[in-house]
Amino acid sequence: MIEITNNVIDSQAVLESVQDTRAGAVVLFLGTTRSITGDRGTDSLDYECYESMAIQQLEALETTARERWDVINIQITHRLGHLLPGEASVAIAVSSAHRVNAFECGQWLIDTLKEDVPIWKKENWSDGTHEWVHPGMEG
Amino acid sequence: MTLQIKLFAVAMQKAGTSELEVDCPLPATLVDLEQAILTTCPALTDVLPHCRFAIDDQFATAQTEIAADSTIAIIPPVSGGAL
Repeated sequence: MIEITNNVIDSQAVLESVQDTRAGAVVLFLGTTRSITGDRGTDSLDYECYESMAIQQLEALETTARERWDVINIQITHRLGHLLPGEASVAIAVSSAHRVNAFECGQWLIDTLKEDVPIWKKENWSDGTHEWVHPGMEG
Repeated sequence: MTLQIKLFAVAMQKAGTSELEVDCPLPATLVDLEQAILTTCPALTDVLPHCRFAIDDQFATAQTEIAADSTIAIIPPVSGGAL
């Protein structure tokens, strides 16, 4: 299942949503807001989304993941809006009969999400400047 | 033909708007579209070469056809993150 939300991510609920008595493994990944990047401090992050496309891209990710790995359930929840250090912006949970599939599938999902799902973050640096984060486009 | 282009993140910041109206004759390739956007909005000159286009909520390829009623968006590089 796919969810884009403006609310705080309930990681326990994400975990429970993929649990299944057929599963021997449940993997949960949380992407959390870092207060330090290199030598720069972060006060907060703002996440923005092209929602109609992001939902389609996330659904396509789930479909491809299910073709590539034998998994039972997948949950991807992404939060938008204003986040403080320590808060989770994204949660991915995967359950499978054996752990290797859940680990590999979860890793692929977060790596691919960060390339192909149109959700962007703005760093609100502690020096008072603001900057959209676009890999390959620094400066 | 007037096309509506959706802008996000740094593209929206540079252009100062979330939606751009661009005059572009059809049929058009992505290169034609890029030229038309830069003519209307030179502020995107540094940004656009790093971006992808989405047509009707899918990443566009060289073969993607642009229609008068297409939903067009400029997609800056996604937020990434080091492994």
